[in-house]
Amino acid sequence: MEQYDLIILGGGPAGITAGIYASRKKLKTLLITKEFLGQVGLSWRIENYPGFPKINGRDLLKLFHNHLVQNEITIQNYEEAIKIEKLNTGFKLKTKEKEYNSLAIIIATGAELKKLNIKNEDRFIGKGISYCLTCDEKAFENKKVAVIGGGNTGAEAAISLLKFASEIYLLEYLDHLTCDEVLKEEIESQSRIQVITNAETLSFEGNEELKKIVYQERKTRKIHEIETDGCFIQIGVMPNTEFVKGLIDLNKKGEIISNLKTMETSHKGIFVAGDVCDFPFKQIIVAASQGASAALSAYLYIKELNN
Amino acid sequence: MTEKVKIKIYSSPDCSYCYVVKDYLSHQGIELEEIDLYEQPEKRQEMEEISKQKNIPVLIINDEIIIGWKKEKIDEALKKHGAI
Ligand SMILES: Cc1cc2nc3c(=O)[nH]c(=O)nc-3n(C[C@H](O)[C@H](O)[C@H](O)COP(=O)(O)OP(=O)(O)OC[C@H]3O[C@@H](n4cnc5c(N)ncnc54)[C@H](O)[C@@H]3O)c2cc1C
Repeated sequence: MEQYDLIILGGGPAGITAGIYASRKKLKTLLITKEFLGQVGLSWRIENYPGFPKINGRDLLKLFHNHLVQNEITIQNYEEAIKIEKLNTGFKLKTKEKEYNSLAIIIATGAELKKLNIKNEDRFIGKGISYCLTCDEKAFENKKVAVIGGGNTGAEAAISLLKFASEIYLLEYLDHLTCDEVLKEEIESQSRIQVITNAETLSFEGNEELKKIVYQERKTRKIHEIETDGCFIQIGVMPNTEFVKGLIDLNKKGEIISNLKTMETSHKGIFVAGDVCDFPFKQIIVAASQGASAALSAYLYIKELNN
Repeated sequence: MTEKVKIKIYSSPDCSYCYVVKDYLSHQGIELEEIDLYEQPEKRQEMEEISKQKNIPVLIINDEIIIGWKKEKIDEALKKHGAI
């Protein structure tokens, strides 16, 4: 059985930063990740990470990854953690392929994009509906497209679609867009983007392909239809915590409850960082900073165990 | 002699999951034919007809079609067709 001081789960900004910090503390570290992409790799335009006024997510992650591999660290890419078991000293981490032991663990498994779970959503995936803007936006050249979700991700999707789509509808459930003010201004200045607030999406309709989105105006309760060829669903994320349920405390949203000073979880020896924890702001810089804190706390914990 | 497995991907340079699928296959030492839909937009229709949908990446392993980044399905198909 391979034995490590520290196992880090996740290859996004949180896990990579934790890896850099841990290896510089000379901890024998293993980083396991399903892939080096995470959510950051899905972003086509990042403008709020210091030092990079405008960069796409994949390029930023590549720079993070290049930095990580300059350090002494073992990496298992394309493996998924499925279980953590407590041992007398430390933990056993199981992936679909293998098992590893360590004294401490940092969970940095981030989050996945959420589905709406409404009528005909599954039926039209690939037939108008997509969750990956960078993959599929070009399929809608000169077509009408809707984006559901008026947060930063949805607003950025609507702006990016200006390159291809003829008309863009941006549907938001609340009575206002929740994205950053700069994005709001950009959207308001674009005549090809129509913002529809108070919109509760009810269903997707069409025959072979998506043709209409049905929504209810939440104030008047009136039902409306939008004719559209495509729809990008960008309504937020769900934490990747299925594999630790029952082992550590989660909040109602399924996020790991953390001590934000130390990034400790409810289970001694297990630390957390990034979007998977219960900190309200989900951003690259926040994830990276928590990755650093978690690694430094894990270092102190391991040092104490070894004394 | 066993016949060589034919592996093809429909991708685009902006598509995040396309990179993951391509990297995963190259990680396994597997070669593939790439059709970049930005360079060859006329191939989009062919891709939509074969996969009966519009999203990418579309990976084709002999006659098996895998849409998106789905490691287990890729592994299964690679094994079934003797590529790994
Ligand atoms: C489209 C989009 C645009 C965004 N734009 C911005 C922006 O402009 N600025 C900004 O600051 N933030 C932005 N964000 C948010 C930002 O991407 C996240 O806050 C950040 O990526 C969180 O980093 P993380 O490391 O916690 O998680 P993630 O980036 O989600 O990475 C998690 C990692 O864990 C791996 N993983 C998951 N489960 C397992 C498992 N069981 N075993 C092993 N590995 C696992 C995943 O493969 C992945 O590598 C955006 C998000 C999206 C979706």
